[in-house]
Amino acid sequence: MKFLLVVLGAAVGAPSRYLADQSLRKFLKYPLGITVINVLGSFVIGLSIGAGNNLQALIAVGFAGAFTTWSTFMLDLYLAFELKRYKSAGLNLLLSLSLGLGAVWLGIHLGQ
Amino acid sequence: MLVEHHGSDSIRHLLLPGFCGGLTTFSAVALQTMHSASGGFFYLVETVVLSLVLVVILIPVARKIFAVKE
Repeated sequence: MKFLLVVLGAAVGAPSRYLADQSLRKFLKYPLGITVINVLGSFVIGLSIGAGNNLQALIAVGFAGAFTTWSTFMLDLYLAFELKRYKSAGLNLLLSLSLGLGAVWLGIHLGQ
Repeated sequence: MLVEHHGSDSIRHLLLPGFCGGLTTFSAVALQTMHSASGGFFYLVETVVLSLVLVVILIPVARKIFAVKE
C-alpha cells in the first residue's frame, strides 16, 4: 500500500516539476526555476513529514521526493561554472541551500 | 548526467527530468540536514561536495564517449 502511495505521489510530483520549470523559465532571468521548485518541495516535505504513515508516503516521499531534484540542481551549477557565470552559480547554491533549509524548518514547525 | 547533451530529445526528456530528476531529491537532503543524527551540516557539505566532484568528473567523460548533439 505504502509503495503504491509513493508511486502515486511521484507520478504527480515529477511531471509537476517539469511543467513548473518550463513555466518559470519564461519569467526568471537566471535559471532559478529548479531553485524555486526545490524550496517549495522542501517546505512540503517539512510540512508533511510529521503526518500519518500513508500521508507521509504519498506527500513527503512520493510527491516532494519526485518534485524536487538534486541531479538537475548539480547540473545547473556545473553548467553555470562552465559558462563562467560564477555569480549565477554562487547565487543558485547559496539561495537553494539557505532557503531550502529554511523552508524545511518552517514546514516542520507549521506542521506540528 | 551522462545524457546531458546527447541523444534525441525524447531520450533526454525520459532520462534527465524523468529518471534522474525523479531518482534524486533535494527535499530529503534538506530534511536530513535538519536531523543532527544524520550528520547535520556535515552531511549537507559532504553531499554537495561529492555530487559536484562526480558531475565534474562524469560530464567531460560522457562528452568524450557520446557524440555531442549540435
